[in-house]
Amino acid sequence: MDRALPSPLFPGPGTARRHVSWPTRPIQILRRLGLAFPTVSLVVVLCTGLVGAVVAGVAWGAVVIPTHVVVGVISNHLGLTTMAPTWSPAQDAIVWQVRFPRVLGAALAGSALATSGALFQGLFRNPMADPFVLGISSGAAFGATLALLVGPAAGFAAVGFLAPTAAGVQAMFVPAAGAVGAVATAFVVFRISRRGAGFLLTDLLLAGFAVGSMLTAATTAVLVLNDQMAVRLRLVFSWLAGGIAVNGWGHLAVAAPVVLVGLGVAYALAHWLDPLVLGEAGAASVGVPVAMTIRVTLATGAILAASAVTLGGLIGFVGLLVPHMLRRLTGPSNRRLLPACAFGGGAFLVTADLLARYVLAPVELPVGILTAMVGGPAFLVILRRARRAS
Amino acid sequence: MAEATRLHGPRGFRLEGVAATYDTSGAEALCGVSLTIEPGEFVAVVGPNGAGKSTLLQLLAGLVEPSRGTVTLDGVALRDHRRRDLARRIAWLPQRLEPAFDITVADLVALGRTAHRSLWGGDDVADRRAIDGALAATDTTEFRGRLVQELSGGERQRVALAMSLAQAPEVLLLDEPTTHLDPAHAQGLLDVVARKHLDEGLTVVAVFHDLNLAALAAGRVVVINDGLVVADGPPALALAPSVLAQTFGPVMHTVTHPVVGVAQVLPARAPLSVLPLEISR
Repeated sequence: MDRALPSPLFPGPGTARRHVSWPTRPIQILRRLGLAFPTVSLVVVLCTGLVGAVVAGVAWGAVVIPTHVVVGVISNHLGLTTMAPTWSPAQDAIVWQVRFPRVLGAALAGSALATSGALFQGLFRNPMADPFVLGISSGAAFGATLALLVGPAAGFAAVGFLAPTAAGVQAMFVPAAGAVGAVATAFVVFRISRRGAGFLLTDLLLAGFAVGSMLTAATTAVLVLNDQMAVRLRLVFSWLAGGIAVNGWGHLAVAAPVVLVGLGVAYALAHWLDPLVLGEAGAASVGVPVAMTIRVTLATGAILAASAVTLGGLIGFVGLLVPHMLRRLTGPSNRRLLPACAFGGGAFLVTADLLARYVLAPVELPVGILTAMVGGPAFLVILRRARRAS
Repeated sequence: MAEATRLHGPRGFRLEGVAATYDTSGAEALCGVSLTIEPGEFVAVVGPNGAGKSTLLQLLAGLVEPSRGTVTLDGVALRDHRRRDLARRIAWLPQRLEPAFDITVADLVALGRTAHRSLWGGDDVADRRAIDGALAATDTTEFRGRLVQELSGGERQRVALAMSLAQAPEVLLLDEPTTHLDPAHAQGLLDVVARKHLDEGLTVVAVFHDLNLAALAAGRVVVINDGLVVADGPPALALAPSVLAQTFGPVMHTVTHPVVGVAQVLPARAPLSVLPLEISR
């Protein structure tokens, strides 16, 4: 029963029927059982999962390498241990030079995609938002492809002041162009789908679809029409289809710092992003500088998505699936959701990449194909729920 | 009042010739409103649908920019206050709070502390005390772990009020806080607001749909029609028959509340009947 409140103006409120509800959502059931994860333990679990997935991902391949060798090689190289090697130099090279960077690339791409998805979902107040669905990944791919086309010679003039060496320019030019493409696309989609101070689900999805289709067509046109690109078509295509394109430490040199900084900025944004659940006016009324939050969030989410694209092409639905699953455990608070996404997204994509290499071995399937096959149906399920809710 | 202004500088809200347009159409929601709201007042804003009541509230919250005229708080234009400083002083409660995602009551109420927290820090003792206090004041402590989406309308509105109270504001702006509530819940909610107003001197500006509730709750009623203030004063004055006839048409009959002694209005006739409704006794 509602307790009657002492009132200067009115007699107490009448008796209201006590609303009894049964736990139907996973988080409620966990909470009733006293098993609700505090953020820290959830992050610890996901972090453990990420480490496990990385070790498995490095161990498995054309040549299977025992787990203890994987751990030994990596910890020796990281300077954590100084074990006498019980493994061959070839194994050392496979683990440290080839597979570990590739798996780390997948982990970084997964973290970036999941975090980017969580940022866009918070910003658009919509569980369907994701850098792939919104066409932002396509924007990054178009930017990166154009950069491959015009080559580092032109890039030197554009970003030369950032990295003095020619190799540095080459390494930075493509990701930078991808980031520019992604950020531009993000702002365009935001503008198109905004109606009043909110976003309709259909507007958002259609704007993302239209913009993404145009950019994908433009990318394909570049690939087909240019002789130089046509020669490398197979390679570029398998990257665009969502294959992790990391085969050495050099590829991580630019993407890794960008992703890590992006994750930090995203976490700082959580404080301003959380109140957006109330809508833009509601957020402003509790003290959020809304216009600035929108700009910074769009840019951060787009740059994270672009980093993922340079690492592994167009990997769809990770930014949709991972935050959606984790939000059921953490609730909508970005303080809890974003760290969970950073670790969970990494673990998810490393596992998916491992599966993609495993299912048709020795042929490697681009991981993007696998995530699309899992993510597509999941997308439809979430869409049904979102439409029912709105 | 002039004396006080000279001694302490202007306090509270001052609207001078304020006009504001709707976002979408550009039509004027308000055209030339001048109004003063002193600290510690409880002001009810009433008027027909589309009169500009909500826009007035959003102007006071600094969520809408006036297209003409100025809105000042303590003598400084609202737009010159920092967003964060405004949020520490003014809480605005929309008509119906619809969080976009499933959110627990505790998380929702904690959002009220946004302006009090640093970018990186979590809840400190003051935050936790404010949240607990707000939950206790609105009698919603037991809902803490529940999802807002599964609360009833009355419970949800109390939780929304708890969020605004957690903001520890000097001014509370309520947009039709009781419209979707049954009479008992409406009174319960206004009790909480009235207590804060009487005990702690909280300034309250509330838009009401229900003229009688407005007259019971507030000492001052502002009547808005077609974007203009048409009456402003104690309930008996603001709800005078002449004002009501001009604002709502000849459909109202003013009486005095038999217990509280405040002006109240009744429909002037039964539906479809030509004759005025007889008021016996």
